[in-house]
Amino acid sequence: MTEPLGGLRRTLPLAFVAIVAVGTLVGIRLDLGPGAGPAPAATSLHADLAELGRGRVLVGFDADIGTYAEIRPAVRAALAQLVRGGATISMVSYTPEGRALALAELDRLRRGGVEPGRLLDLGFHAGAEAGLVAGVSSIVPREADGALAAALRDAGAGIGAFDAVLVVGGNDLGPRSWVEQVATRLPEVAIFGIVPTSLLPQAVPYRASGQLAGLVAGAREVAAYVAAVRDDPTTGAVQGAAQVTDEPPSSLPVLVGLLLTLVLLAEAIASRWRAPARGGAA
Amino acid sequence: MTDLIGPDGGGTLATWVAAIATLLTWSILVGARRPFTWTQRLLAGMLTGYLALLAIREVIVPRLISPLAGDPAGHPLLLLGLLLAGMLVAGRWLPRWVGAVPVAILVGATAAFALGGAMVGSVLPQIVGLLPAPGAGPAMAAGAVISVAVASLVLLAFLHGRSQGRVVGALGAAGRWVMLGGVGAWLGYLVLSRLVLLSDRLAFLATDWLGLGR
Amino acid sequence: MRRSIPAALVVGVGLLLLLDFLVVNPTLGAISGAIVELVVILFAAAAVLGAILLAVRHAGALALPGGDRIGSALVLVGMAIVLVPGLMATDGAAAPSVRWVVGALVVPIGASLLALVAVFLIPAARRGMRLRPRDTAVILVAACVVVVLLLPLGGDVGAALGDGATWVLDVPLRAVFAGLLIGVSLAAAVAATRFLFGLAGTDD
Repeated sequence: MTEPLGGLRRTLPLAFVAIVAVGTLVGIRLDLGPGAGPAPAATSLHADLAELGRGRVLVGFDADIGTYAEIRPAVRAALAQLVRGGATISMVSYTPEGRALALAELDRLRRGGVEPGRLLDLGFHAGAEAGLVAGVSSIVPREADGALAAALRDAGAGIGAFDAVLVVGGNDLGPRSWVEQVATRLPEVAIFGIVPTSLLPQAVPYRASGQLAGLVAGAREVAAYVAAVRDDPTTGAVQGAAQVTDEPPSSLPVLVGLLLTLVLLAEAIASRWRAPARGGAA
Repeated sequence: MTDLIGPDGGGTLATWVAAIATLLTWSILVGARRPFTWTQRLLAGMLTGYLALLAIREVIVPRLISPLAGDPAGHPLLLLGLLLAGMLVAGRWLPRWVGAVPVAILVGATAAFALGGAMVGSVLPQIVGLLPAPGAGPAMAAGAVISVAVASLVLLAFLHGRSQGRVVGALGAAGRWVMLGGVGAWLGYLVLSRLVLLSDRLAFLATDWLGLGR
Repeated sequence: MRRSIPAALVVGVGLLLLLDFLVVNPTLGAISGAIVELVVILFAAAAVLGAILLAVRHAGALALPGGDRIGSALVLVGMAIVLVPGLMATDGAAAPSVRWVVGALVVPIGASLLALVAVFLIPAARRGMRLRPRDTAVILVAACVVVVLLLPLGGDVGAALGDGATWVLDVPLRAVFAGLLIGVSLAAAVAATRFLFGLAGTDD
């Protein structure tokens, strides 16, 4: 009895991927949407970013490879919204993975027709928390040139020179570090965040306490936020980087995967109580 | 995710390389451990190299070497920085105290940032945030009471296993179970994040590589 | 004497930065700013040191018989394909060749590796149930509850699950993580205080 089950278990990981793959393919073929429901946090972030207008926005880009796929549509929608509103976008990273992804997004914005004067690459700053603290007084690199860099230097050259910060969080550095190291020193700068589902529990206390001015977290809110930007009635026809091109994926493979996980976890819990009946073999 | 490269980045070749790298990483699913280990080693090398590249090109050169090369005497702080950086890098092959000096600066600064940031940024606002707001309705007040009770149990769990009274010990033990429940809940959120990632990789293989669904 | 210098530095640097955090004083601010600048440079130097040590270790392993020579060679190749073009190009990490390596290798391998977490969670859960059944059962039951609440369903069921997920997140789970944040922060603060005041024997 143990052997066939053991063989089955060995093939389980492959079978799991195969089943999720079928869900993914069906989702793609049938063009199933993400199934966005109402999400007040998404509506709120959309309204808050719209209010920034032509303001100076600092994007703290520290997404990580393991979670960026989930928040990428919301990050690109937020950048599109900022481009539409006329804001300037400056990007800084404190993690290597964040820097790699930020470079790609900066390039995408340039290719999307955003004027060079509205984009500024502030580069990678070492030291994580120390880098954040250093950025409070000076975040514009010496070699940065152009009107935006000059305007930021005139306004102090630190994070306080910006009207708002949008933190694209990942597992290594996210809203918590920004709140602890930057908001405590510059309480007047509004900090917004976009984080993946896995960071939701640790980011939500900061949203609830008001330390984060806005937060979109997790697949449901990502889908709602993308829909809010895409269907914004106040915006006319847009093109290039102002367009929402990256739609959240179909929720079918996630549904399939979650159901499968649920069944297998329940089976794992039950296995403990079944084991003695099989003579303790697990 | 080959859209990270850009249009002039050798799209087809990049897609094929990315697809092969994905399949080699997933070879563990059919029990092939060696290709799986190889991709991990390659990744470790690339990530370490990338971090070193960023450290050199975006920190050490612009913030240390370039200013010093232009006007060494005008930057005494950077001369000290160069000395300390040299002590840190070469410290492994020199007497132990040489490397200990820059490490001490790093440790002292990290501890100070952790202490100050945590107390002012997390502890105090979170304690205040748990309390019911003035004029809160019954539902919000009930939620606040539950929140305070749960958070208190979790805090008592930090005392679990240390000598204390029976009541505090029992509450600490209960808090430990609540904390484990919280960890489990986080695991549930993590599963969703990873499933989205799995689906994204599968979609890449299906659409970008195999051309299905285009 | 040689041991007490690093200990004094830990205490001195830490207290100075803490004082600057609490007190607004231009002189103190200037000194702290200088220390922070040094710390950022030292973190970068530490990253370079890490890369050097990794390269030395794997270069040494290449010469050893019986070791994982292919694995060590791959670590070195991985470092080289990022570092060499990045150091040679004028735009460093933004160079097309580096971005190609990131897009075609780093992200696909990293993402594929992390995507497997969802798959290999199940065997790990079974192992946990064998080793620490009660703790693991609590963790897995909580995970199952959250998984149910996160099911992306439409209609009334989906709306009810969404409401449930919001309540769980805003009330009990927020409280658990607020408690954890406070507890961990206090523990870190106590450890940092002990460290800064030399109670933990920093000169060892």
